[in-house]
Amino acid sequence: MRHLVTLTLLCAALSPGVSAQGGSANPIVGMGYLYPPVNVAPGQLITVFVAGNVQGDITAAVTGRPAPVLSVQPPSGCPSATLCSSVTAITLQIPYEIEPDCFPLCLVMEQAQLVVTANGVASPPIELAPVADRVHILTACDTVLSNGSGSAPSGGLPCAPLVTHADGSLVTSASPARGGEVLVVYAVGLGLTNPLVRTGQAAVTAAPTNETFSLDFDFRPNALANQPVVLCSCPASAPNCPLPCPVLPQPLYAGLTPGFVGLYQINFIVPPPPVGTQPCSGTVQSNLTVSVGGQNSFDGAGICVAPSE
Amino acid sequence: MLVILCAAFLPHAFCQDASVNTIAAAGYLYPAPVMVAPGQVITVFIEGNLQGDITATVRQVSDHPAPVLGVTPAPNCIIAPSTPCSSTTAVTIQIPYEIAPTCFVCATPASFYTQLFISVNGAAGALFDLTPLTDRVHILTACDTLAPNGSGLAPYNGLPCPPLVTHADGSLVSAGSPAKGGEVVVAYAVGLGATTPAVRTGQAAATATPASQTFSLDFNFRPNALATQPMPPMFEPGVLPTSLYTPLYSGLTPGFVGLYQVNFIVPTPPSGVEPCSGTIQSNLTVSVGGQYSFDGAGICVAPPE
Repeated sequence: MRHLVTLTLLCAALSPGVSAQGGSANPIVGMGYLYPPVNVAPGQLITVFVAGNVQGDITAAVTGRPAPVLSVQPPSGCPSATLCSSVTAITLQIPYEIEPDCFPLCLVMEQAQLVVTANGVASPPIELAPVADRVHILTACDTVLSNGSGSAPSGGLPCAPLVTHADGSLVTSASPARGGEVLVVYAVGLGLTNPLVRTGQAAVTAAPTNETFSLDFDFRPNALANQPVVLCSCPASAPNCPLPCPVLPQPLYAGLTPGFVGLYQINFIVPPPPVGTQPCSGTVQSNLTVSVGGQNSFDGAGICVAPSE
Repeated sequence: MLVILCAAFLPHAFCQDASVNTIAAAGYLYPAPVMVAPGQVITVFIEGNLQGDITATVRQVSDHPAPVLGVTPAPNCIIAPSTPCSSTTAVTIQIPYEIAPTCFVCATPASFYTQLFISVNGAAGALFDLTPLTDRVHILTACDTLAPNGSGLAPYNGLPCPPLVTHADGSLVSAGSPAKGGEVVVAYAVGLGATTPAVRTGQAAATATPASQTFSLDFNFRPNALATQPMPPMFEPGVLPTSLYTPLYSGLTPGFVGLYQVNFIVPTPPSGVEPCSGTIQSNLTVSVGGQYSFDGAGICVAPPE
């Protein structure tokens, strides 16, 4: 509701006359406390925000390898009145062929460069740090979705994640998941698959990820992600092990979704909620945070589960 | 630590022209509007390298100067230093306390069209949209552009950098110096909004100045957890005494512009908490939440003996 109010207010702000400011010098490209992140995984779908109203023949490349452009959102689709005059949102796929660095297993940090070319004019490159995985669980606001607003809610929680029941309907507070049910999380950035899929092409059949991903379940209300962590001191097979390594919860399937470019899904079983779990209602926007973690990254989805009866 | 924080605000500048088709950012949400609180210290990333007289202004009905606290030149390209990189200049400013925050929960929701622009040598740049809120909590980390020697770069494992949380003597809480149950520790932050009494924009508080808003806490002993939005104590009855959900003090740190601190008592860790070591970078995530925002700090606590 608060988000809807935000969008309404932003729409009201789009009237001409309030955004006029001479010149496009010194454009602000972001605010915060860190430089824009540049970690990407092979095959990752991501939106690049390019200064200016970029039109015409648009291509992208990562260190000389073509990065297919999947969509171009002109400035008129931007939710921000003044930024609309200066930013084009270009969704592309990072080539599967880039070489992820081996951090933290080794100290070699590979670098790559992304260039966007419009009508033959190349942008200055930005440097990327390829990693094996850069998990991002899709939300309803994301720009890589055709109807995503690209605007964050004001409460600090992420937008509603794209987590569905087996029939494809969204898991929501009105349609919560149940313990033992199989759900599907949609994501990008899970990296290479076996078999390999060519950059820019959709998987024809299920293509599992090369990497094994782990899960974490947190029934605290409105929690962000937890990095799935192995709490142990030695393998379970080791004799006299004081704290044997447990097996972290694993997905039933983690891999590409057939028919889509760069879209992954993680299928998993919802664990039974502990006694006392609060139902989603009012300020409790989620009562189970499912986190998906790989070698280099993790992300979480706050969903609603029906408390145990 | 506080002395080092001061050193992070030394201004300097550099020069290079901006280019066409410049990639501003990459991700899944537009870079604007950005939510900010009155008095928030924040870094503005501007295309190209800037030099000269740099000023910032927040426009909301009328123009309000936003003091520039520091300027960091654009970083050089790493992979090909001779190649002109798409780059940004980092300008740290303070959002004026005088701006009115948007009120979503008022009987008559109010919004104030708010924009920021940067001027260089008197030439105003393009406008950038802001959404002013009463609070936009950000607990400072060692990587932040505001922090001493902060790289401005995120770690590769997806976890935040070590947060600026200290013992009462000012030393950092770390794996080698974990907090203990019952101890009072201090989390440094920005974005806690208006204070009582009010402090003038660009000026440091002379004495302790509490935040006008009441903030809540959440404690999560799961390893490597990100933040949890603090809930009213009624949602976790009997887990902790209610008083532990409220900071001992949340307000400005005397002597610094826009720097807040949140003092709180570390609850006693439950039995079975693993100490920080190896893959466990934190075993207690302390979250601070206000009306419109929350943030968390993953710290290390000593397990109960």
